[in-house]
Amino acid sequence: MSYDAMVEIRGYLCSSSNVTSLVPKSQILVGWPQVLDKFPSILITQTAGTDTGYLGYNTSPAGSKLRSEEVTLELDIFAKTRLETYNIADVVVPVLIASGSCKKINDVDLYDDALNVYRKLSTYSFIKFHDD
Amino acid sequence: MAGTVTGQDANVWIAAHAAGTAVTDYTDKDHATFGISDFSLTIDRGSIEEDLIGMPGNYFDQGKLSLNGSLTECKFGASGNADLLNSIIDGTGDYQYVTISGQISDAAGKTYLKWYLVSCQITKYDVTIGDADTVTEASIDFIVLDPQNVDYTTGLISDAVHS
Repeated sequence: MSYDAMVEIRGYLCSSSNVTSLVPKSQILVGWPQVLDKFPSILITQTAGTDTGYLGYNTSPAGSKLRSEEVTLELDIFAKTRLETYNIADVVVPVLIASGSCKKINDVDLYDDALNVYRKLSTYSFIKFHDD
Repeated sequence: MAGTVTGQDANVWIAAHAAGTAVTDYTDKDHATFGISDFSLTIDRGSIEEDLIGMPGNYFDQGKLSLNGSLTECKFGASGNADLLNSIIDGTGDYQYVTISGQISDAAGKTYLKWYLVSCQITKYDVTIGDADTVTEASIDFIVLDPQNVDYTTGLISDAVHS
């Protein structure tokens, strides 16, 4: 689990003018808010994660302990129209791929009955390396 | 020798040096510097078979001993230490030999398998670059040049006595 990873992903999206021209920064969120009522919006949540120490993690000096972290992140794009969800997804993908070791592994189109909006659920796998 | 450990308890040190000299400073020569994610050491003992003419069966005896191994690193010469590249490309002077040492675990109170091999030669350095989901790594092979000097004493495999 890494809060940093989710914040980092949000940072990539917020620093892209292609993304923020479609979704305001204030509506790119990490974790579910109590009320989600502004659209379009992007929600970043973590669904799985693994952390693995490299060879010699325990014997390396502090600051040089190599650890790989693989995070599975869910990106929910909410919008009033289906086309809007596609347009947003199309600008999100290249931003996240360009961010580093990130790949999209799943993509589902949904309609959210509770919120009455279109929803595009994408899942990304993201690898981060740490020098603990 | 006892205990079950994982790779995170291991140590590996790699340093190039000139013939007849010993490495005394292992600063920045450890697995973290090279970003080693895999390490293997293989000890092979061959056998010799001779026909016994006119007699049933054949004669078998011990054959040659060889020690070799491989490792992967994800930190290369520019960002880490370049001993491995210097050894395979320059291979003379201060880079004529490579000392590769390490241990399964450094936990106190138990004796784990250790190796201290001072006459290694890097025989292959293979950099592989894949897609965005693949860590860029180099696969390195090495061989011990003086297997006749290798001995084993209470958990330690070493050729250092003749360095």
